[in-house]
Amino acid sequence: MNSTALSVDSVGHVYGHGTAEQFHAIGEVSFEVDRGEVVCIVGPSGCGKSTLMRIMAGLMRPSSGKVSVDGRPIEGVPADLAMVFQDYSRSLFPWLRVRRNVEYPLRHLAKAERAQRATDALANVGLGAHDRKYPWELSGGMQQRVALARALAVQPRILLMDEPFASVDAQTRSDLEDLVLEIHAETGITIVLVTHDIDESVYLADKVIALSAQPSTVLETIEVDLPRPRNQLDTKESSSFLNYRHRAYELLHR
Amino acid sequence: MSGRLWRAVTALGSLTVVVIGWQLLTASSESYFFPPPSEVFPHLWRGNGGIAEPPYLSSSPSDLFLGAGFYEDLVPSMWRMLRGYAMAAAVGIGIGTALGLSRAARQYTDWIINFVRAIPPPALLGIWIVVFGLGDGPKIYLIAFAVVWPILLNTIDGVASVDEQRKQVAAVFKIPFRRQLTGLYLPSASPKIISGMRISLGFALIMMIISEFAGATNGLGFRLKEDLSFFNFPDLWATMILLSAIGLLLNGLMFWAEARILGWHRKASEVSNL
Repeated sequence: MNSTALSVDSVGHVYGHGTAEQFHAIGEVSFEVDRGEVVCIVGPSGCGKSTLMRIMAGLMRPSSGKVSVDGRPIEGVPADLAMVFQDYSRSLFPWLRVRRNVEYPLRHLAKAERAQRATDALANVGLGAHDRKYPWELSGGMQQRVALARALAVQPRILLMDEPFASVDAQTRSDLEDLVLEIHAETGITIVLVTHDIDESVYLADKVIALSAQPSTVLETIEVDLPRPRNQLDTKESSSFLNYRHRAYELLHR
Repeated sequence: MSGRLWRAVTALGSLTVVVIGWQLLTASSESYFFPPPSEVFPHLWRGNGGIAEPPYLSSSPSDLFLGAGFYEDLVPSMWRMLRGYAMAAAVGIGIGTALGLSRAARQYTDWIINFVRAIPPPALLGIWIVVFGLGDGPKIYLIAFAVVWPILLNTIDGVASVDEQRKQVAAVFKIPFRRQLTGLYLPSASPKIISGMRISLGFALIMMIISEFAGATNGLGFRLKEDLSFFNFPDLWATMILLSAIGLLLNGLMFWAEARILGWHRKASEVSNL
């Protein structure tokens, strides 16, 4: 069995090709994500990270190149893939309570199964007690947990996260990072996470893919060989963490 | 609660002043067209003999205090209005959703909608009576035609402005189209749809009256016309008061329905801009 879960093969993207507003977002990007790996894509603002993520999710077609899941080029959104979006307030449905938000993608399942999955997913993100609330009654960090629970409830094999913690405060952010690590350790799910935060990328990833400013290309793939389980203190204070961080910082601020 | 009580007291107080003022002004006046309230209000439950229209209310508890006018004029009017309004809601939301989903369809139909919408609805009453006959048909169609626009335009706007990211959520989770419609597009558009329906409801009452001015044999609009021809001004004003009460009642119903359906929207808007 091939160990590559997802491969991005010479993907390039130009918005509005041939028009006055033509914008070359992605130059040429290739990388592979192994099964059960956490890969972080890090790059400066406006480097086409979110575009790349949408292409990987099958939400848009790249101008060139292809994305494959389990060796097969994708046509549309691949099976067993879920995504957490950056802006939780615009990704959750404000007219549904928390539980119904999590159950929304599960309508093809029997009612009991659906309820069980939602209960489990909400417990996993520490929101078991809040399932009767509306999303807007929760703090930003908790709303993003709901979005994470919604993604986990479909039991995906690949989880894409588009700057998931960009709009929460620092304390909440490190809590959510640890939550992602926990979930990864428990489920062995393949995670691709886009961020502009170098510390976050090194802390979470097995592999950091550093992108250049647009039109973006891969500057370097940093294999992060830090022991798991990781934690905010020991891992972030270790000399190897600082070395990886140093390397990534150099790449992005050259 | 005491705030609410105080509001009720002040409202009642100013109402009393207005009615007394009305009484004083009209009682001292010679005008036949403006009878005093002491003559108008009794017409709600008591006819005035000979040529009188049947009263809306009665003093008999076994009739639930409802008079013949309630069944002969009020109910047919409300039934026409309800059917016209329901037809407008069905057509407006149905077509509005389809147009809201397709930018191309909107571009093709934009000018047609604006063109047809510009026709003053009462202008159509005559031809519709010729085409659809003297029954309830032309009245219902007239009401529907007149009030469909706010619902249609608001639905188009609401469906077309569903958040891009929420659409991507639906796509990523492979929600089938029909469930996107019921689970994403319509709920997301519901604040705008309902505000269109509120505007239309007031308008439906107006159109119901106008539609009964011609080719009708009962209804409140017909009755107003009859009152005018028979110089039955007390009944005309009594009907006016009844219409005003209906308007208030419908407004209250709409407010109640809105609070139930859009409770999430009001509270969510307080904490963030959706």
